[in-house]
Amino acid sequence: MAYRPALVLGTAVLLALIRLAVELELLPGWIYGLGAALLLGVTLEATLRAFRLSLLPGLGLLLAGIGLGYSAFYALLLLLAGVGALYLAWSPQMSEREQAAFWGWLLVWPAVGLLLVWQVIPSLYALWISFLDRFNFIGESRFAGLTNYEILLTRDPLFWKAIANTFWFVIVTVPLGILLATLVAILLNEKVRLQGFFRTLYFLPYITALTAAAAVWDWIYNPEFGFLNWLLGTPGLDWLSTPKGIFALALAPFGIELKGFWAGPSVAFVAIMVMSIWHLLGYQIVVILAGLQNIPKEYYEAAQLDGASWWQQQRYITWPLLSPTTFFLATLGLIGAFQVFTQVLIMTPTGGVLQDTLTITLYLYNKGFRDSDFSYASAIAMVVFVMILALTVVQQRALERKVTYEA
Amino acid sequence: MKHAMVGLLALLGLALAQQRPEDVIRGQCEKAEVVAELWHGFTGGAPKTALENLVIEFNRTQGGQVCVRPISQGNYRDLSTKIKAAFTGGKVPAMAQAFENNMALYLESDALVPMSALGVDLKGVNPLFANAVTMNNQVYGVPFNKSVQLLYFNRDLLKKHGAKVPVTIGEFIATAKRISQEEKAPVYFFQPDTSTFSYWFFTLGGSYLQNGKLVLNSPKAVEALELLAQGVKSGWARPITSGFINQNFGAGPFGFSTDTSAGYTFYLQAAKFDLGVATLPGRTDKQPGFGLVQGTNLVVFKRADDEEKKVAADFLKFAISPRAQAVFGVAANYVPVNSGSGVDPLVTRYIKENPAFGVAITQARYARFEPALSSWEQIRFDILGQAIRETVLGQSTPKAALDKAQKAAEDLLAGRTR
Amino acid sequence: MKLDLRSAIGRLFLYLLLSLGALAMAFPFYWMLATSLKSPQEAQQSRPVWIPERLKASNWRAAARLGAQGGSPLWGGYQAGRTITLRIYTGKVGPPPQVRIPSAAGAFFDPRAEGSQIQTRFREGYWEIAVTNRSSQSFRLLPLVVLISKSYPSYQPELPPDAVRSSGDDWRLEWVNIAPGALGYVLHNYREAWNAAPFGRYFFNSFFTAGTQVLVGLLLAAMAAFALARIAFPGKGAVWLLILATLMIPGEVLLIPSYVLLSKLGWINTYYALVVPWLASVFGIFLLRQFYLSLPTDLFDAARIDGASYWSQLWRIALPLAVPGLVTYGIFTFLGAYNALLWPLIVTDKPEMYTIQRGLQVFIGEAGSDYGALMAASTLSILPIVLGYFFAQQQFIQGVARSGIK
Repeated sequence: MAYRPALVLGTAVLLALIRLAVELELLPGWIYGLGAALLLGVTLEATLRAFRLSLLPGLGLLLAGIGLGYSAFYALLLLLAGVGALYLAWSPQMSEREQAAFWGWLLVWPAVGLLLVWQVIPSLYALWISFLDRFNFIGESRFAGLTNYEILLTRDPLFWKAIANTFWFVIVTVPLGILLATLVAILLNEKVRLQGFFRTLYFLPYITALTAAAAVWDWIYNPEFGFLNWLLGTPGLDWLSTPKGIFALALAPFGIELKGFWAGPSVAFVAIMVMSIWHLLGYQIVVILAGLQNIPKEYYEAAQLDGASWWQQQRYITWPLLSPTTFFLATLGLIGAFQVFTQVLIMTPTGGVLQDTLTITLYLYNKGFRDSDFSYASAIAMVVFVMILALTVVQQRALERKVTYEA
Repeated sequence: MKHAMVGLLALLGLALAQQRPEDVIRGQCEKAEVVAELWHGFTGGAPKTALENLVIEFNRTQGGQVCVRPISQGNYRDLSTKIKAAFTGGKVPAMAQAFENNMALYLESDALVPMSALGVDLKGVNPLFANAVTMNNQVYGVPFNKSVQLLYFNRDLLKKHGAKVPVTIGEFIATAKRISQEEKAPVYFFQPDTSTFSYWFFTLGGSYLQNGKLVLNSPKAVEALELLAQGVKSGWARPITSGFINQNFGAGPFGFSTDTSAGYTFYLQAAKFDLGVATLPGRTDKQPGFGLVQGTNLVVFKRADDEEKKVAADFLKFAISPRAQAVFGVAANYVPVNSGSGVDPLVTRYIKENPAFGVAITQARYARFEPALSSWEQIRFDILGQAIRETVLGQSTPKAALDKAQKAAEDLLAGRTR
Repeated sequence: MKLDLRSAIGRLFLYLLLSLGALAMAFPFYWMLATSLKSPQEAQQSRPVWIPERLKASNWRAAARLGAQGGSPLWGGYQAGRTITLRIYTGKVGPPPQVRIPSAAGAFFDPRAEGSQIQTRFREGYWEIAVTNRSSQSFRLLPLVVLISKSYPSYQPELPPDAVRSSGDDWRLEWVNIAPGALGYVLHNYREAWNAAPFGRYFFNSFFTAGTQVLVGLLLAAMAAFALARIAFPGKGAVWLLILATLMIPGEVLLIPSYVLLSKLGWINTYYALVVPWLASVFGIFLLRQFYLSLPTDLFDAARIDGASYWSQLWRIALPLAVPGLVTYGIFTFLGAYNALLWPLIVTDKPEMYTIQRGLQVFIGEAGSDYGALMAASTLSILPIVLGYFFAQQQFIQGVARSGIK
């Protein structure tokens, strides 16, 4: 309870958000009263604890803001001005920790506030919908409790197929993409002529929207006039329509039959993975390039003097010092790959011939937007959320230890 | 009459040569007191322009007090998403396009206005189309942009093998077999999906609903699927699993396909051979086979304002009138839903240059619809479609696949699964 | 950083690797560019057409000559009163070709077709087709369909047709424009794409929304990232988890709930709807956090001892040193906003509010796509970005050098 200034700031912002919600008819009006009372209590406690006259202007503004805020939205500005004035009065006597708490929250609130409004609240609404029975936004739906989750986890083979497909996608594209991008970025960081030209070329795939990029790869894989078939001399091979798993295909000549999950991702899905890596490479390269700029040249010069080879330099200097960046890419990469959607939708709109390119987000999208069952779609989203959360926590624990930040 | 026709044509020409149609409509609706919005799923091209030209003509006849504004919401999927979003508290439009299964969904929440309440009479409309929008003995929409399956064939190839255009299923299979043997490649291109399956199923005499219950594994269904599977095995049928058929002409010599009339311009564009179009082969030579009808209807929502609903009613009456359907159908390559359009001079003149259009009009008299269930889209893709694909690709037998599909459909409709 | 001793071979290898990779990266764009210059039939050939007809210099002369007859030699046209003469070389005389002007899609009454007079004459070795514009209107292009009998052993039109197909006893030759002018010929798809929709407005919308997201979002992300990286405040872990967690819900389920929020605010069909929900960028916060974390702690400790507030630490130390990160963030946020499709499509339906991506949807139709126009429009849409990035990353390198990071 030592962080009073931060607490006052926090409850003030909360009150502003509540006021917004009341304005939008998402919350009943009396909740504003509740929030106002809370803020009042916290502020009075903080100011009366160590009362000084310099606190009065701030207190006055704050009270005016709370009072007028009930009727006028802009009065919340008074509220925030009051908090600011209070801070100015408090700051000479604030301890280090209180300063940190206040400033930390002050800097973080705008972003967090926006996320609360645009991500958290819709998510909570979606969570509520997942407890309804086949809600489609047009009519009323009755409460169904955990039925959607029960069906999803026990009676839905297609869901598990989608999970399996998505799993393959993540396992293949995330590590491969990062490794490839690191290699290319290191090469691009060397002093080569036409460096800008090369960098632009490598970034080109990412610049173009996924829809256009997917259309281009559609052509490459086209069985009739596709470039890949022409290049390999295999006319008629329908890459995007081959549902056979690659492991099954590879081991079939040896007489080993692999089925189901262990058959691996289908040829079609691998085709999409190649396209995804190609598309994302530019983005990963640019991020790694930025990270590479932070590595002091002296380290390399010193290593060179010590006689280290190029490969050793990369392994002992570049890779560890790049770890904050690659960690970043791995974290976001995992979260993003789990939700792969657009390119699958464009290249195999039906989820593959035998649902072999059906990813979890495509499945969710079909359930919500094709079958108008938003309850089920929301339930899927919640389950996916928990899965990604668990995987990310595991990944953070496992990897963050290995990240070397500058001492 | 003649003046109105000339006026219509002149306006179309004006719209074409100078202003963009959407700008013309904006001008028309600026001074209007009541604006009825029509939400549609045409992203561009001929259908969008044709619809806008139609609306321009309607607005012109209303004298400026009221008008219709068509708004493109993206493709059909986006359109149905936007409509659902509108129901959450935004503004619900007066009219929108809707497939029959969308209509079933809206009706579950009683969101549509019956045509009788609006005074819109479907007299003159193809009775098969009108039947499809009749649910619970009430008509809830008007058919608007419809297409029907046709038999596409390669005239050059038929000439080369001295074959004539097949009229019965028996002839079709025999011809396809013979030509495939001689060409050493399957010549019947088909997409292993419910649409193609429906043609064979309907023509063999099958029906999806029996006593009001959905039956996917009836003997006729097994027969139809067996036919397709045999076709692939015997080498006269080629499954096209990615893209449209007209994007796969290089896969081999194209002989036949049973595909939607809406694809005609794309077939023409892609084909280097002499493309022919005919009515579908029937069970006997007495009548053509049954083609699946696709395309949307126009519906009116209850939550719209009453004045807008009145404007909508007038527009719907206009949209299904013989002349409007003639102009719209010809411009956008849809089958006119009004039987009277066939004798309209625009249509007869157009058919002289484009016989395919006349074929579609004839075929529309032998049209069938898939069931209008709110979950039909899921069934036709995930359940029935899966069974068809598995069978055609040799992973299952017709009977087993369809039995599995029937069980899955029953579970879905009973609410045991989602 | 230098490569090892055998630097000549090393560098050669380096260039080779980079070039191969660049080829793989950029090759699909060659196709995109090439397709944007192809006729519809060329775009769907079974063997790839490496050099479309429109890129052959011999055709440019014919295109310019034909264009000059109808309008200008560069852009062509079919102006009132002009006559355009197309030659088809057949050698010997034979059955006359049948000529027709196809009606434009989307309308039945075509003033161009109705108002044109067509005359066909055989001169020495070639058929001369003269099309005269007897109407009072001028048109941008003149499409043509010619049926030429298969009895001719060979035929050579002055300008290669855009489509050839078999039609009974004739070959059906189609041109999208027989009076294109040299530039109009090469850039036909671009012209048609540009005229199909108000792309100027779409570009503005895309740039405006993307730019706003970058500028305002940068501020928010810089602040939040600094706090998360360098300030020890209570609840930091929970905030970090919350921020990351917002990425873990598939956005598609949030589409309609967010729409509900927007419609209550009355922001549908406004720029607010396109920008505000995306101002807080988790990607940006995360990226900048990593950057700040990689800066030496002593810098900040020293500043703190000197009495600098957190705010001045952010502005005077952290931000200037994080320029590469800021530029990176800017690039990606801009791209993300520029390429977004689903969200703008849901929250806007007025054509004035369309972004570029929404505008491109015009070319993706129900039963097939107009590949040429689609590729042309797509190329147009990525061109400013490519140029922008090329120049930006020059700045990026200079900026890094200037900021003193080694």
